[in-house]
Amino acid sequence: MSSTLLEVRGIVKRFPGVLALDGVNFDLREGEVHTLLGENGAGKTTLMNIIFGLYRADEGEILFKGKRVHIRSPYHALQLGIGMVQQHFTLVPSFTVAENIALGTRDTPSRVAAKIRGISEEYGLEVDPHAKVWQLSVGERQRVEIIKLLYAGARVVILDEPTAVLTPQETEALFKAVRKMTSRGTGVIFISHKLNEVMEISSRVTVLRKGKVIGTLERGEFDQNKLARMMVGREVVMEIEREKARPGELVIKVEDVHARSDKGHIALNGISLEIRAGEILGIAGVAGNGQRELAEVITGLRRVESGKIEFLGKDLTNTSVIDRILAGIAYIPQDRKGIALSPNLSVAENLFLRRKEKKVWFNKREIFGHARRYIEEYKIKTPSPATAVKYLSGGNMQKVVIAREFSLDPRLIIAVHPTRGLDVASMEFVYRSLIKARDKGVAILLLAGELYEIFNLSDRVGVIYEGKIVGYTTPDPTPENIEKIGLMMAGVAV
Amino acid sequence: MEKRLDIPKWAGAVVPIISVVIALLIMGIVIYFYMYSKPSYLKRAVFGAFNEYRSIIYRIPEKSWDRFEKMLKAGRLKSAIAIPKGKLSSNVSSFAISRLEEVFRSTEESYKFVRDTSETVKSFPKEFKELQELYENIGYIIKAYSALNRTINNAKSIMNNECNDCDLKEGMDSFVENLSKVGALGDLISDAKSIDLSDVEGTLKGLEKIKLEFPKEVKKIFLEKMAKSVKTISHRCPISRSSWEDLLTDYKKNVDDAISSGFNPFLFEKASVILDNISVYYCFAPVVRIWNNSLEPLYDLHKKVSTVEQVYSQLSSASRSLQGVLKSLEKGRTFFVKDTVYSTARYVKNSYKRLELDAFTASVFSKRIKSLKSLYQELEDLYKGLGTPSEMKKNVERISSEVKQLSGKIEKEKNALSEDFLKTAEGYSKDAIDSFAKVQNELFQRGSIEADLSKYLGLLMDTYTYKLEEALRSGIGRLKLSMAYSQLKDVSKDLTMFLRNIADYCPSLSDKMKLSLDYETYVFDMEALRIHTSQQIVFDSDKTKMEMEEAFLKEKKITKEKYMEVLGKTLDGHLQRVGAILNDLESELRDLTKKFGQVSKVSWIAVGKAFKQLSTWPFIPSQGLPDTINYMTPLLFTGLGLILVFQMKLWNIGAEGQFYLGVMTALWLSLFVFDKHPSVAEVPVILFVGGLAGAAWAAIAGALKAFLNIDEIVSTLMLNYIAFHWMEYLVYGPWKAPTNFPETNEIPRQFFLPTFGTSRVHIGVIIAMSLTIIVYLLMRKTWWGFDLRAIGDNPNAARYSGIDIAKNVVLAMAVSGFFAGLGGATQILGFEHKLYHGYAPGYGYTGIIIAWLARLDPWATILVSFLFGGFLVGGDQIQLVLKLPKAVVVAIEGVILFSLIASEVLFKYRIRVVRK
Ligand SMILES: Nc1ncnc2c1ncn2[C@@H]1O[C@H](COP(=O)(O)OP(=O)(O)OP(=O)(O)O)[C@@H](O)[C@H]1O
Ligand SMILES: [Mg+2]
Repeated sequence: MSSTLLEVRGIVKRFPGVLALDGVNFDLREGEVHTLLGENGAGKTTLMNIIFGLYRADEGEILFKGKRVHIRSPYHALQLGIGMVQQHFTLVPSFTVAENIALGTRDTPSRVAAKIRGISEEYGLEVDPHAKVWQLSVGERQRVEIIKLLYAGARVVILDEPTAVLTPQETEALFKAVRKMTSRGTGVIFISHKLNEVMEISSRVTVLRKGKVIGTLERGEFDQNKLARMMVGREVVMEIEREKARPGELVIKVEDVHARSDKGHIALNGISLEIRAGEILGIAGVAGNGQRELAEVITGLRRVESGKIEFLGKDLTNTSVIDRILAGIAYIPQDRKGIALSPNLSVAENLFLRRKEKKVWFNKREIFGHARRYIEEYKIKTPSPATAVKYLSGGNMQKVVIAREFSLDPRLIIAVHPTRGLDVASMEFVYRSLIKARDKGVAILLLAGELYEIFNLSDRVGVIYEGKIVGYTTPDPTPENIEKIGLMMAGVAV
Repeated sequence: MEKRLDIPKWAGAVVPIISVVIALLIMGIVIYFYMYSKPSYLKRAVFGAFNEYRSIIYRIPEKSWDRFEKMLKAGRLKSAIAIPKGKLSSNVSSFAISRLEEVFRSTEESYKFVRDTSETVKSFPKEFKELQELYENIGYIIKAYSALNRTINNAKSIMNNECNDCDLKEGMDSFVENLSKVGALGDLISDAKSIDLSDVEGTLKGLEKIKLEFPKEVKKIFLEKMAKSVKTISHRCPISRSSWEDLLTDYKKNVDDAISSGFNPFLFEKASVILDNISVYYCFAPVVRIWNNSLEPLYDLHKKVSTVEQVYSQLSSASRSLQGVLKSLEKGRTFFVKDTVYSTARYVKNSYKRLELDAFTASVFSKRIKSLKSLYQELEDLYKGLGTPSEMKKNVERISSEVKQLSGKIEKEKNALSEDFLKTAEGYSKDAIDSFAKVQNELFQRGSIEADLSKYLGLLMDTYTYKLEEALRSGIGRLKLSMAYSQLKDVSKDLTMFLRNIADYCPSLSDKMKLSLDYETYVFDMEALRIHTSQQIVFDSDKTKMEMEEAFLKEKKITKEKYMEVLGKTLDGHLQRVGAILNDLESELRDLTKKFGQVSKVSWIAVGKAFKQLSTWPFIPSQGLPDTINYMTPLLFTGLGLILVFQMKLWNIGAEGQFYLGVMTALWLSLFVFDKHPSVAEVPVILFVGGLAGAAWAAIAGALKAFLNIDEIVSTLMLNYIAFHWMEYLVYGPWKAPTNFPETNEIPRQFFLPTFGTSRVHIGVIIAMSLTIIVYLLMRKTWWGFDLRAIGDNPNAARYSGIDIAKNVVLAMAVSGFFAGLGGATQILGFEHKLYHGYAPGYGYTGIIIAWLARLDPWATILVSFLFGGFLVGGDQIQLVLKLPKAVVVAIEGVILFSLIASEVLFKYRIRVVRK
């Protein structure tokens, strides 16, 4: 057996009102991928933050290569050889890749650039050292973060939900790089809610629940169902049963809409679509083909340059956001921290950030009352409704957004990656809620990167390419259909 | 990932407390060093004076110096002087040093004053006492006289049954009381006492009689006393003929030089300074005035020279500005041409007006005046025909040639003027020099100045007597009496001033005033000695001192031995006194030095005093509390407005300007709109409109931010400057009150905010407190407040939630400005009541700090602004009690604020004790 790189013993961490970690033991060996699994708010990120020096444990100890260490800061961690790719990236947008990596080292960017090329080639992490970070896609940025760690010579690499933001192809490339790392003796700690990925990459899995370790399984001892059971304590149904849709009246009609992206490029190029009540339209497509702009145009956050949007027979083109909320359009955006939530406001206040009522007086007690109901209904893990939303775990933040948007009693829901970062149980819950809404006659526009989600939920599937719908198909997961979608996503009309 | 703060609740309070403690420590150290540096300064001042002392001693003629030194028991002085001066200064911070230098300079000045006045005024201690007495007596007489008149009027009213509650007794008492203070008017007093007040008619008669007697009696004593002092003064004025001569020579040389160099005004000025010196510095005023007739031509010449000089410079300006016009035209610029031609015309006009003003120049320069007038006319014509700048562009050629011509004419006028003058001046200066020679002759023929001096003093007395007589004769007399009075007062004022200077010069010496006075007498003695000896010895610079001395003695038929004996005795007397004084001074210095040894103790005591003042004075109702509340009120207004926008992360730096808008609006409404029939009912209107003005001012920056994304920090700051200068303009211009000071009239009384009882505290504080409730409700209890918070926390999320950011930015800014404006209006109605130049209390800027320290909580804002008000009052108080300069206090305040705000950082970290 290879030697142990890192070991933590009896870690306890308390936050006001929460016992986030309760005597956790965990170890990582050389050259292995050790997956950390657990429901939202189980304490995975917290544990990793402690190892990376962002938090101090209240109790317990950390051993690195058999020696006890006090990790004072991320910088210190990196010096020891522990690196982490966080859920939110820490790059300077206006710097180039090379400059970003040169930060904190003594090397000049030009020398760094040469080394980056070496690392890129070795690990198959493609990136242009001279590109500015703000120009890069999310996947590319993640690669930069990983290269940064490798550059610094990290022996322990922590990846906190790296695949949540990646396309399947990018995930594949990431896994290749991870295998390369492990083959060189680096230990990788991997966090994900996607069980198929866990099955594919892990050599060991540790399951956390409510801050406690439920168990650690060696490869061969686990399968998807077993893991899901360990995690939530019950069976999880991944395939949702649902009746055939019964489309009703026309809810939204988008007609030949043109709009520009933030950077001023044409993002929507004459897009048209229709969704009826009681129908889920899934839009597939490679990220960056106008999905976000489509959602924003319908919710009023982006100006329409030409074209028309009709909602329940009324022309809504270029009316204000609030008008559309009042009309009944709910929106679950992709970027929960940046757009959907006010991080310093409380959970309760965030639940009422978007609202339909137009009262003057703000009744705290009433709002907290409602908030408690939502917290229970959506199983949001929070010490209290008054907790600032930024202190919630990633998945729980997402639940706050979902709870709020459902509570708007909408006629149309635009959902972009609605289950991103959710554990399997919550994912199931969200799926059921969407189907239930559909059955009650809500029109749903599902904009997600993951095909299985679209197949799972949609009644119709449209494919978007360069700001236009190139075609529609059925949500049948047959190989022919998938191939057809693949062709359309590449811009080939079928 | 966020860094979590994870500290128990009570720890939150510990942090600011720690920082305040640190700040107070720093403050203590600052005060300590300041206090420490003070005595070291004093020490220096004393030594400075001491050195000066020595230099006076060195002025003693060499021959006497040996003896003098023996008297001084050499060596004692040296040890005192040898104490290093700068020993303490390295510990003193730079502001203290600058303060130090300031005081040092003032000491030096007061010292010089002492030295200079001692040569003249202080030489007559007894006489001045008499004079002082005299003038005090006149004060009593004026009072008595007016009491007499009052009583007579009252008696008359009683007889005519016009007055029921008129009291004769009070007037009589005051009459008698004041007269008895004078002392010598016993007859009048007994007359007055014998009057029976119950008989009104008899009283009136008696009083009329006294009134008739009064002038005669008063005159008698005054003339007597006056004659006496004048006589003594005339005998003692210490002057030497040689110095008089020197001055006159200097003067003559300056005048000659000035004339030969083409009337150089600078030299003339020097000459007139010398004239002044003659009259003031050397006690020659009387002489100069006696010879006024002969000196008249000289004075006259000065006056004329300065007139011509002024005209000359006016013409130079005119010529210069035309040159400027020419240059502009050459380059094709026509923009300022019109204005410049206009001002040129003014210059020319001023110059002939100036010449016309004075009869002499008007006659000498009549030709010049005429041609200047026509020149002016030409310029006017040119000006009128110029047209717009673009029209001028077409006629550049023509205009240029005209301007060139005119400028040539001006040059010619200038030259002609100086030629004309030189011609006259030569003749004239001959006259002046002649008369000057006459003065000199007269001086030496008379041989003695004393005679003239007593003549002058006689003259002075005549004037004085005349005024007095006239005053008394005219019955109403007050005015003339006062004139006589003030003449005397002027004389003895110097004495008082001198005494005060001594006291300021070194506080610890003030109880040793006698010593200082002795010292002054000594200075006088030494000076008199010097003059005395030089008068006798240094008479002719061609001969040696010895020869002169011998010649002198021969002339006086005194043997040398005898002379030396007399001189020695005189010197002995002086030197003994000097020795005694120096002994005293030395022990005084020793005392001081001992005290310097205790400086550190004394300084710590001062620090303790500062703490006590700062922490108690502002909060005690009978002491600083009213001031604290009055400081707090405007701070609360601005602070409240700011927390509202700060929680939106909208950095309104402009509360200052918004405050000014409130101030201006309130003044405008009170002084110019509602001034006809002011009534209390209009007060709320004024306050409200003041608030609206502030709101509008803030909304400008809000709109710029909301619609053009212009940074609000910059725009509000700029608006502050605009508001401030606007206000200054109003104070200096349209709103200026008819006083000498740039300020407005006071607003009508009806608009004053009521105060609590008789205190200074106005009800503005109540308004501000009730606003706090409103702000609290707005921020915490309305959806609007919620929206504002959402915008502040994450504008993207706010936009996504359908909140109209632009509208809310403008609105919130306006509300914030409303508070500041209301604060300004309240400050005017409640506290200032008028506006004066440089009104910049900085409440808007301080409001920023208040909002910050209150951590944007409305209730905390009340507390913080109250404490801050107390803090300011306490600062003022320290300044008063410890005599700290304002700069030190402000620096201390800055230190405390700085550490409070810096302590914010500590909130982000947890302090943990780790045991291993
Ligand atoms: N800074 C913090 N302050 C207060 N509570 C926190 C903080 N960080 C995490 N928590 C709480 O600790 C618990 C564990 O959170 P953590 O982020 O570790 O969960 P997670 O396992 O990463 O969940 P997810 O899968 O949703 O990312 C949660 O209940 C969360 O609310
Ligand atoms: Mg997490």
